[in-house]
Amino acid sequence: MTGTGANSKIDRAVVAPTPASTPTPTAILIEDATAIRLGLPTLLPDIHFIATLPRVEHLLRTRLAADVVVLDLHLVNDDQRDALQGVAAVSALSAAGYRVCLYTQEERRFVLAACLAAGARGLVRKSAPLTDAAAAIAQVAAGEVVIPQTMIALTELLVRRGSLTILSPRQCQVLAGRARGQTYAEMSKAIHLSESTLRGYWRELTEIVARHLRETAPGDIEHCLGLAPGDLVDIWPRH
Amino acid sequence: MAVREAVARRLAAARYRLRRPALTPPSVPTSAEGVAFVVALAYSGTRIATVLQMIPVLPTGLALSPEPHLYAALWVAAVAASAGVAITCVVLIRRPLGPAAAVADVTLAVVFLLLGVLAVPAEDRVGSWVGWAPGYTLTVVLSLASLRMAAWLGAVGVLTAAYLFFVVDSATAGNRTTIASDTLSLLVFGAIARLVVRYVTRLAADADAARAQVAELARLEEEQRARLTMHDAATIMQLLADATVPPATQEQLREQAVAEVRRMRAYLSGGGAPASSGSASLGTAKAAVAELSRDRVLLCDILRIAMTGFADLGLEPALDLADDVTVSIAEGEAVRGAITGALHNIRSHARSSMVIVHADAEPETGRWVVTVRDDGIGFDPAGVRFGTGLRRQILAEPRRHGLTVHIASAPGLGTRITIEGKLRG
Repeated sequence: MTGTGANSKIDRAVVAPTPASTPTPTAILIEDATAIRLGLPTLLPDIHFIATLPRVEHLLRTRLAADVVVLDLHLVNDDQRDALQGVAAVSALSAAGYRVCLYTQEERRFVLAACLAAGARGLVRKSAPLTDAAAAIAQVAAGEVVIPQTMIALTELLVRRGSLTILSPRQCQVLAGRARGQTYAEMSKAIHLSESTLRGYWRELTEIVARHLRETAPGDIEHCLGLAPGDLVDIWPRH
Repeated sequence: MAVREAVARRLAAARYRLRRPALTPPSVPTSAEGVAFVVALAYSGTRIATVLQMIPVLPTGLALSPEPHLYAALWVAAVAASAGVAITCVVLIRRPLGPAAAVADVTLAVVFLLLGVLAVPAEDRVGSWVGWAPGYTLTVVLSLASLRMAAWLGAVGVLTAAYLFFVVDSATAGNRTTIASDTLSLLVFGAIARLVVRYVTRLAADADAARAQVAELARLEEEQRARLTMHDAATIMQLLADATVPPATQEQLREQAVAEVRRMRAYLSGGGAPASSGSASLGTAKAAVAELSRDRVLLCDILRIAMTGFADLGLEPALDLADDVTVSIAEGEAVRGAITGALHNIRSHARSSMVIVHADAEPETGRWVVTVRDDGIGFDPAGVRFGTGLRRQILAEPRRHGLTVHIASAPGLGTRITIEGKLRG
């Protein structure tokens, strides 16, 4: 374990050496809760955490390399009142070229949508089973977009309310199935396509959704969610 | 709920009518018992009317009679019989005479006709109240309506024969038409009275049967409602008593238990029928959409109420697509019960980490669809016997209100419950 020594705060970061050659995805965990910083790497043995940091600024300074950054959305506490957090943190990490997977209990879907708009590639609830968390982090590390069930429902809403219009009929079918909790096996049986084909449609769809959220105006999302004009102005990332 | 309230209102009205005092016709209940009393009242009325017509001619009759003592005795006996029948029917038994009393009544009328031949001059037996026996006989015939057909025919036949015996000596060319007309009156008026009385009696019996059926349906409805309500409460209590239930779930259960206790107290104190087995009543939803319609509620509000107290299940609600769908209050209550029951089942049995509650409106099919999907252990629907929750609360109740319900599950693949209904408006 090494610290950079450049900043006293960085001493609190835990950085593990990267194995010479490993098939497991590498990750950096940014989380203000010490117990989670110390516990999650142990609980997710299939993810190689090369560093666990209490704040985003440390990573932006050190520019450690990893397949994915696992990011808690709320990082401000009594010890780091000025910590970068939320949508701004996602924007900063995305701009620095990191793939960001949120690890949060945040449930407000407009916040989650703003995070995806800011460049987040995935989201895992802290309450999710460990196997699901590991799978989602690995998917984001592999370059896929992982959107949570809440955002799947929001995506269906965007499609039905005419905000997202470029999905193919098959992609719409897969979206409707996922929104209702159908498994790929169930959808495969219903629409007579292989599960791998359906997963392909889903991967394309998630990319389209992530791109759409990055490119769309907050007013469009406000309209779809039934929010008042201007409600998202402060939270939505400015590109 | 609306059905239950309607049934309760009708029952209350029926009970009110049955309880009202039955001394005057407007107060008489429309039951078989009430109709019997009204018929008895009508029979008694004809008897009293006959007596009132006999009174003025008594002196004349005594003066003209060849046997004044016999005439007086028959007159007194007829008046006493009429008064006896009237008092018995209206005050004592409050219904028409039974078959045995009817036989005695007919016998007495025959005696009056046969002995009347001795007491009434032949020229006064037709067209005069001096010969009152034919008028008395008509009231007896009218009061035979309750008898079975064979007995009625026999009794009317005997009375007609006795009447003809009474008038046979007084028949002249001038009064034959009157005699024929009086004879027909006995038969026709008797038949009409019998037809009307028996029809009204049957009508009242049918009304009683219908009331009994409504009461039974209301009882079954209440019994079913209580069973459904107790099912949810029992599930909550069972889980509360389970020490292995996680703290987060216990917190939700406590919230639901408090709501259950509040609801049951309101029920026991007569505050109304159990409105809901969820943590909130439909009142919230009703108030929220009062401006929409007096008898419709928003489906989304119903679903939110149904999901209250189940946050520990990892609920993922997706209700926006149906945010303007309304359902009737009865449908809403059925949907709420089904969703609450499904969530209780998931908590108790599914071992799932996420439950999706999805609502959609499909204008192209004219349907709204609610889907509850868990990622739990599932079960084989063909291999298990459904309990009260699945059988009645989730399947039967929504179907009773015209909704479509489908349960799909397989071991290891979770469970999906789909409820569908027609879009309105």
